[in-house]
Amino acid sequence: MNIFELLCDHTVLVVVFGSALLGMVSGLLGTFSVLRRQSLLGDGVSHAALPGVAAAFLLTGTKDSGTLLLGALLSGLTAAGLIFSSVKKSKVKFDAALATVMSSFFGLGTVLLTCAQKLPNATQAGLHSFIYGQASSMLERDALVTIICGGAILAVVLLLWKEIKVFVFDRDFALQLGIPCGRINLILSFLTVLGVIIGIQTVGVVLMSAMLIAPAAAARQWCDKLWLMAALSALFGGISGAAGAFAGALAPGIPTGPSIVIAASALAVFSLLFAPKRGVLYRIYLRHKAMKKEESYGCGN
Amino acid sequence: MNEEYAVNVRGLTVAYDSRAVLSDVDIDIKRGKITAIMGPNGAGKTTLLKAMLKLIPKSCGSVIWNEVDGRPPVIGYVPQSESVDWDFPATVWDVVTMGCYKRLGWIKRPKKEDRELSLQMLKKMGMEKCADRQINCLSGGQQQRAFIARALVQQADIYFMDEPFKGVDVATEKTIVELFRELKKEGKTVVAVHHDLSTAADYFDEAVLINRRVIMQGNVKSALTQENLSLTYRGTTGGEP
Ligand SMILES: Nc1ncnc2c1ncn2[C@@H]1O[C@H](COP(=O)(O)OP(=O)(O)OP(=O)(O)O)[C@@H](O)[C@H]1O
Ligand SMILES: [Mg+2]
Repeated sequence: MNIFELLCDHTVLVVVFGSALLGMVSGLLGTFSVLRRQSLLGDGVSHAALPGVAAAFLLTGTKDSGTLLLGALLSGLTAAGLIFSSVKKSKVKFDAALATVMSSFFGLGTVLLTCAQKLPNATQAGLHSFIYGQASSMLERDALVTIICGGAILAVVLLLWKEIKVFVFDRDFALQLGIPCGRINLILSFLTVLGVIIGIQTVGVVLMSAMLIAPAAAARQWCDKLWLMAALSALFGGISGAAGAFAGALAPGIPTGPSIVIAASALAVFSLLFAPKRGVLYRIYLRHKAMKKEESYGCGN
Repeated sequence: MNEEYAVNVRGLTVAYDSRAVLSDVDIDIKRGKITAIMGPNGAGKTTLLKAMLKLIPKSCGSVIWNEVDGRPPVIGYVPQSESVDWDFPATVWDVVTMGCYKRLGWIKRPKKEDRELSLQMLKKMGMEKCADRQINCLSGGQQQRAFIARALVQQADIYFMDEPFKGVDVATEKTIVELFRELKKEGKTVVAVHHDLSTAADYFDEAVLINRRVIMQGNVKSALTQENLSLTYRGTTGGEP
């Protein structure tokens, strides 16, 4: 198939469009995760979604993605709730709570998945696609779910922009302003869970967190304003989504989810190295210049 | 209900993980005065401010804010500047305008008068040239001034400042002291954590000496006696309960 044929192919277009949208949503949400130093929350939630998917299939017997994603959402939310409440109620630190909840949920998920695989109609069900993702199976209906959830997420973020900004930067000051930080925290976490869940079918539970972190980390390198960072992060996420999906369509052997993640990571690595001001190369150049200056002073003496 | 005091604290006890940091604290902050909170490191000064502002839960006791012109007072807060991550993508302007977010409703952006006020307060703190600077390239003193400007934009009746003089140079210290006097002239109340014993009597009207409990409070000259100071700073640095 050549590129022009691909561009006219309806199924391919749906996949590319859906993946781009997904990248944009996770890029936007990733901005806040990265700035709040909760980058790994997405990882925990996505792994924790697996038992929900398997349980939904075992209970209902359908492979309908809406049902499976609902199961994923429920178990993702449970995991997030467990992580936050154990941090709040005990002395356990965030990373320890996250690692414990994530691995036990993922373990349970793997066991349930094995049980599900033994059922007669599971063989072609592609439940395994939830682990590494399978964008090429994306239907118009899945893209529609992404549009609706993405639109809702964007609307909430825009509506609460000021509040989220103060909350993320300076929680004490936000509290003092009378901003309900508990609720903002809850909303942001819920949005992140939602963003992760709509992505796992495409990118897979193992790699989904990269879609939150990589575009945001890349965007941080290029700008100094929160809204610019959020916009750039969404743009980078969108580009990665489209590029990965396109690569998958161009060469059918290539798995789409990992390609999307590779595209996002490439953008992140490029940004970390080459961005002006914050990039590694620029810093090396600065140090070099400073050393030269020192040397020339030394000669003068 | 009370004209003389801006806020009354009664029997305030605060604990982190069941270990009491402040016990049975009674404090009365005089309205329209500049009050210093003093005590050794770990005495619970930050804890006191945070508990009064409801930023951390208290175990027991009450904090009564007396009304100003028949309405609850607006409180301005300057946190210790280390309390935030300065690598956040924002400019000084972004930080300072956060002060008016409470007056704005949902989704509304700062209006013209809010922007003018923010600029005015930046000028007052000598920071107008830094308005477009990224906050991660500010010096410690500049961070402090940005935070104070943000609190001023809140147009509060009572200002709580956690170590406003920390890491600032002589000129900035003078600016802040002048600001205190100006606020006082406008009838505002200022409460600030302060460490320098030699300047306390110059800068402040009242002093509260604490070390896990209130040692002494009152007029700064009568409170800062040798005896009270040695009681407050005795031996340890706030280690004992
Ligand atoms: N989040 C916390 N969890 C547990 N203990 C804490 C916490 N914050 C403070 N403490 C303890 O409470 C005590 C009082 O701390 P606080 O920060 O109020 O002191 P401070 O008077 O402000 O000191 P400094 O002059 O160093 O700012 C200290 O012993 C400290 O170890
Ligand atoms: Mg302190």
